[in-house]
Amino acid sequence: MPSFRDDHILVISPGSQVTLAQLGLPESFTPAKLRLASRMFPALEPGTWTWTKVREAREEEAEEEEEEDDDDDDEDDDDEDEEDEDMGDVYVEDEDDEEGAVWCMKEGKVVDWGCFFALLQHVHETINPTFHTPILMLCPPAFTPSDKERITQFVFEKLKAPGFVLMDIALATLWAYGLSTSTIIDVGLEKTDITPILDFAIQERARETIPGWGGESMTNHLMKLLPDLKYEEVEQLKRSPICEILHSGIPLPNATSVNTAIAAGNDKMKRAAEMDGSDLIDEEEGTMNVAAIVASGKTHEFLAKREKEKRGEAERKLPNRERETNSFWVVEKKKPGDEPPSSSAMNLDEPQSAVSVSAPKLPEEALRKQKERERRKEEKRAVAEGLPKIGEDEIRREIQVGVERFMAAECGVLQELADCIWRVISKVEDVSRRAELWESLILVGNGSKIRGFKDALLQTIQSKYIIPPSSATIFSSELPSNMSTPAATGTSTPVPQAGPSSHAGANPLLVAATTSNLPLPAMGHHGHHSSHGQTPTNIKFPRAPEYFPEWKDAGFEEAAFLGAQVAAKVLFIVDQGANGGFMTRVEYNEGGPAAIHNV
Amino acid sequence: MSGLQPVLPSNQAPSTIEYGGDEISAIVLDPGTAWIRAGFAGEDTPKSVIPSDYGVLEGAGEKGGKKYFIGDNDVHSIRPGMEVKNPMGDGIVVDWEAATILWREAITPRLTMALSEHPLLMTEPSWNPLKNREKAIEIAFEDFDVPAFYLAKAGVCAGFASGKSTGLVIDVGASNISVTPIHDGLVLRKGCVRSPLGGEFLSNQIRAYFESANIPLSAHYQVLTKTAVEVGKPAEATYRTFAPGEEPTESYKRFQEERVLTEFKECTAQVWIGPGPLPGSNNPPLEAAHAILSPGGRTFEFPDGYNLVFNSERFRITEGIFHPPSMLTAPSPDPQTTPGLNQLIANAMKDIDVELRQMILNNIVITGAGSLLYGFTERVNAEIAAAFPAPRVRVMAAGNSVERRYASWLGGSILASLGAFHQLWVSKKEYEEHGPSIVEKRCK
Repeated sequence: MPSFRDDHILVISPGSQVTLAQLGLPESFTPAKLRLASRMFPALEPGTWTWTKVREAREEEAEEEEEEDDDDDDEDDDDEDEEDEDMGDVYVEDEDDEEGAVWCMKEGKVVDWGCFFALLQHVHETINPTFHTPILMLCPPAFTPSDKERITQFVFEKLKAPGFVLMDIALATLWAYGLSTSTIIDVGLEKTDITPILDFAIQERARETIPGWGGESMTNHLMKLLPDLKYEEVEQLKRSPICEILHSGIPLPNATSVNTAIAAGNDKMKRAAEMDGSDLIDEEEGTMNVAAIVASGKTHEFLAKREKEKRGEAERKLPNRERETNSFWVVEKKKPGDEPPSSSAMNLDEPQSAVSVSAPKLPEEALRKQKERERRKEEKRAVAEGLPKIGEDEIRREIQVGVERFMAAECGVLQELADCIWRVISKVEDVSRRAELWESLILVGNGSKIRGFKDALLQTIQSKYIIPPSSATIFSSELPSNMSTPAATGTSTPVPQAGPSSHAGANPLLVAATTSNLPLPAMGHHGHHSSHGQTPTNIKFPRAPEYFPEWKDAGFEEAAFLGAQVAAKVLFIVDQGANGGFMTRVEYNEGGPAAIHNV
Repeated sequence: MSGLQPVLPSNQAPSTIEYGGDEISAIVLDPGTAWIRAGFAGEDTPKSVIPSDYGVLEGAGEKGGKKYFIGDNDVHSIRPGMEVKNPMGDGIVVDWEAATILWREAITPRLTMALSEHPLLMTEPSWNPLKNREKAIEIAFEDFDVPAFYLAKAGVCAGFASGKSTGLVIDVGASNISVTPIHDGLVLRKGCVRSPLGGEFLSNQIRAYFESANIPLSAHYQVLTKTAVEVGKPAEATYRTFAPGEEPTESYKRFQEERVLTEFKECTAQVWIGPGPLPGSNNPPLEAAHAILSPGGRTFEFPDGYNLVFNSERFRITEGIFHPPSMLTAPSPDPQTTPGLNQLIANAMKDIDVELRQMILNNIVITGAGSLLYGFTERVNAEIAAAFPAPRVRVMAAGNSVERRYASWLGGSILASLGAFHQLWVSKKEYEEHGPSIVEKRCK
């Protein structure tokens, strides 16, 4: 009895910042059609909520329904510390930050249930599905069983859904990647969840949430570095392609900013002489590293090394990472009463903001740099690959920033994540399976969207935790320990096939890279010491699934939503509830909200 | 399930019969010296496992009081002046203030926000004194405001986890190895023995060995990046630097080193599987055994990249558990008077009625994270076979390391979810009538 149809399935993914939703499963799964900021406004009557604003981040997005009318009434309800005074009308990329808004979730926890339910209700009304629409909802790890029961009760009693299932967000990510064992690193706004999953079973005990470390910590760090920029400008800088985390293990001391300026200046002079040469040659070492390098007197060595590193990405347009400064576009909401924006408005804006940004840092160079900038800007405008789309009522403004744009992660977020990943995996009881977890790290969450984050994280982990094949055992034939002690504890003794040995040497290049000073013969035997040896010996990020073209374009930060779609398809359509994959209304009536835990 | 489901026309609202009742599951809390395990009764693993070690900063809390840092994230962050402490001693609570906070933290918010809605089952070691038991029930009812409470013996629970209500439970914990004979779900008090040869002892043995061999022990927090070095060569790592006065405390350092030692135990240490005690180091049989056991020894790499190959040392550090006189020099316990594990088992059996002995010997259960040491169960098997040469002696150890580590919790989970258990709960009303002393009457 086919009870549900593809186009009658509602998938909801609530998040601290954005709530994603979509009705119906298209032929090829697409990123969420509906993106809403996870906030509501308290209405005039206490206890009721209204949704007053929505901003169009995508073409297909839901249309605006109501007009703002109660902005003044809810000023005092402000619980967001990052809001700006004049932001009532300012819109940013895909979030709204508005006065008086109550954000119902914080660090993955629901802080205001009334608001949260109002949001769900709003999502449901916006989509307005039929009564025959089952709901699959993703839930962050911070939801407690009683939270889930509350949601279940709400869904069945208020939304009248015929079927409902709550799915853990990490598990959904795993589905999206089509794996069974993995460590999911979900970098959110104000928290990061690290979830080890073995054979589809979430290792609840080892799972860890790092509060306070997420995309927001990088924004805050950038704010500190760029005190002249407003919050939403920094936020956009972070999202722009010029904000990058560089691949570099060299710690960058803060005290050298002046040196950097000088060093960079020297480089720039040199470069200016070669300005007419190819873009590749006129790269400047525009990062803080220069200071350290120059100071240590190894400039040439370093330059040579860098040169080599970069060869691989020679094709990239104008390498952002080699520029001292770069600019990005800020999209702002037109202020009421402003002149209609023109291209000249943009030009007027730039120098001023540029000076204001770089002035405190490089005062002695400001003039020269500005000229330089003018030149480069022209060049860039020609390239102008990614001018953000702007709406009718928005203006674009260019802001120039210096090397600070590379320093977003210097607040320690990478170290913190690396340490936590190690702790989490070390807490998984089954020693022999840890290697598998290390070999399948999945990085998701919009906080990790920043360019170079994944590589930098990988590098951080590798430089601190990886266990290279030991020079002592690499030539001797170390047998897997389970062969020597057949009746061993049983726990530390995996079945040979199940153990990591089947993956041994799966990525010899990676191992090679980490053991550069060692010869590489017999790698197949020594990719791992033995099944209960130390981990990690090999760290890998699995490739994202490739058969969803729409997702490929959007990036896989929200892969959980893809997984949710896959799961919805399986649970509601393919399986039809035969395996009790979701909770039906009948079951709800019999078992109550608590029955959700049996699903 | 879907077969039962009525197909609704999509334009008609579903029926409005709603479910009214509410079923509340009990929470099971198993506080140990190293970890505190908490979860819902009826589940097969604890949902929340936090370290018993906590960080504390004097004068940083409200009104100049103590500020506690609990849980894996908090206790691992580097904070100048933060001391890492442990509320337990010899397996029982010593510092009640911290223990209360830790227990609460283990349950909220991971499991539930409302402690007052869930009955609470706690485990205790068999040597828990009356004072501690009364204090535990007091905290449960007064501080946590639970509706019902029960205090179960960890040994009994561990037996239940293996499906045994009669047997001998050998629990290798952090502070102790305890041997608890149980019969029909009750502890036979006479035979309860323990010896401080648990995980902490092993850590100290490893430390003592490292010291004697001049092996520098580093911790992960000290290292920023490391480089691969040849075996035995000094480490080439970038170290984290601390401004004067910003250094983490000694206890923090020790706690972090402990994590490295844990890894050492998991990956490198091994128990000599016998038969008999570990031969002397120059003994040819040992070397021959090495050739069979693990050719080339096992490598261990320290956080700073320094790595070494360990041969007979890996057996030597664990030998003290079975044969205390051969333990490495450590301040405590006294090698001559401390009973080793085989002695413990013998002591426990000595005090048991002859008619029960056979039944108990037939159900020997090994549990506790310390028993996950490589080769541990084989050695126990060999020792028991030598001490009790009877055909019906059977040693069991869960093959699954999760079950082994959380056996007492799991038993508690089974116990609390049994229908027949409902009459055993001590309700809040009973507590209010009789006071804390009710624990002695009701929780045997």
